[in-house]
Amino acid sequence: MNGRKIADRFGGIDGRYIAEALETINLDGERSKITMKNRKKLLTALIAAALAVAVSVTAVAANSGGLIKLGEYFNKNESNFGTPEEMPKADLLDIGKELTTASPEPSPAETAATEEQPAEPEPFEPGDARVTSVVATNNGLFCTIEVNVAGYGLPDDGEEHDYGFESTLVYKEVDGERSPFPLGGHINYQRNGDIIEVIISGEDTARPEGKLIFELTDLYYTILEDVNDADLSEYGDEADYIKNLVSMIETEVPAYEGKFEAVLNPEDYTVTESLWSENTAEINGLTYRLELSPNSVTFAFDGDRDPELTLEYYEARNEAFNELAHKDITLVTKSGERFTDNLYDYYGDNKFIGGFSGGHISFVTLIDPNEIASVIIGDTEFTF
Amino acid sequence: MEDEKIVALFFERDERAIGEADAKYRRLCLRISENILKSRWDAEECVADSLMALWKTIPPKRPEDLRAYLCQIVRNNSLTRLDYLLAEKRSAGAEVPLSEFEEFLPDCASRGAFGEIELEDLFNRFLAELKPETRKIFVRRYFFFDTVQDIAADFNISESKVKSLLMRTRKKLKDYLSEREYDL
Repeated sequence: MNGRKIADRFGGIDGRYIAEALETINLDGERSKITMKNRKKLLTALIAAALAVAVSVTAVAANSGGLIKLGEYFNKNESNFGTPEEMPKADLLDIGKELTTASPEPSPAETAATEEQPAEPEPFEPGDARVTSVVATNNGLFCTIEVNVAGYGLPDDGEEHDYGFESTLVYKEVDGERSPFPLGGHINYQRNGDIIEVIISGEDTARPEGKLIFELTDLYYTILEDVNDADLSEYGDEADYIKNLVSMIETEVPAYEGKFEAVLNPEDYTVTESLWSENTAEINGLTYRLELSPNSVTFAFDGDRDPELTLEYYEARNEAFNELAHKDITLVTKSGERFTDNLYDYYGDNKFIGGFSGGHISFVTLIDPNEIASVIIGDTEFTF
Repeated sequence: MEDEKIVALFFERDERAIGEADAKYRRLCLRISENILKSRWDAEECVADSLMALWKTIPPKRPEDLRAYLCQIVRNNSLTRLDYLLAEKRSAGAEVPLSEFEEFLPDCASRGAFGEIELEDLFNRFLAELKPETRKIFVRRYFFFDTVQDIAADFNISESKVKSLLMRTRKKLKDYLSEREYDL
């Protein structure tokens, strides 16, 4: 029996005993703990091997936010949510506004106007952050933020370094009032010289509205060390256990302790609806339906966007995810092309990124969703 | 704000309820979550997630003890998050201190759901028989996953005393279950 099962057994402890134990916790005392800064992450040989072969994607940090439900909390327009049957079959062609990506050929008049008044390129200095593309749907964002980190401490020594921000938060600001809680999402990073592209995706961000403020704080990078050379003093009694467990230790090194901020104004994006699949699948007693939005495919609990968050539900959801995550997922396009990938396959020519969070499982497709005719997961083909 | 008033705000669907609960219990929730996840950022996500779970479950639920109810949600969410981290090999070394039980805690698979409920009931009866201080320390360690150091500091006793007390209580639990003919 593993530790988690045992933990579940203890989960049924009478509330009175929980309450009396809580009384004894002294929150003002000094604690020894692994801090957010300079924490060390254990790496298995699998991850180390994966890093060694990673060439194009230099960093992955699919932070699955537990914040989706908070995001939903801030959806004032609840009429936009409902059961799959109630969801409008929207035209996916309206997929939001691309801010700086390639646009259609300009008309001669537009060309002339541009020639007469060449637009001053916005300065993009070290320390700046900007949203370069965004698709906003009824269940989240898919957007890219560029951050200029020149001179902010990332090493340029030719070595492979994982890197990222300790936190990437999205706040809504409606009528001048900022949401007290941030939204979350799956985060991926790609680095191109001094520019880091931060890709935020997934349903976790819920329906965007108003001004969106992206805060990226505490840039770090990581170094890999042989576990025998690493300082494991902070692990205390567990140091020997760790040495037996892994061969490499990944240490986070603070590069810049500060905040980068990008703002997305409401006039720069539109919110669109999603399509729900016509059929469902059942895994571990939970019925799921696929939701296809312009940026992602969500494997959503059918007919209930707000399931009761019981331990049983979480376990069933986790089991479902574990089953799904290792299955090949095939996207079939309207022209008959097939793209097959796996959520765990982060490297190489991947077509999906993502993971699961909250009550849902989502993955992001880099294929134009307007061209998707069906999605095959295991033995089930979801059609739209 | 008193818990009853916070619960009342939840029942009135007043969004201030979340803010009040957050303001009052955030540090405690972060502490519990960090015990499990060893990561402030992951803990913050779990706490936010748990606050939203409050919003969604109250009503219809009306917890007698809001703090205990919230902390239980935080604990469960953190364990779920830990599952994810371990599955993704992203864990910062978070380990729940339950391996100490593995050698003697019964596997209820053969008894089905009834066996699980029965075992939970036995746990609670076992806890009821413990001295209050022992029970609090036991729950702190195995329900909230506090470190031995933190428990020793909060109870103003030595770490070795905490360790020996936990060891004796585990043995007592083993005997307790054995006497009740649980297959060990």
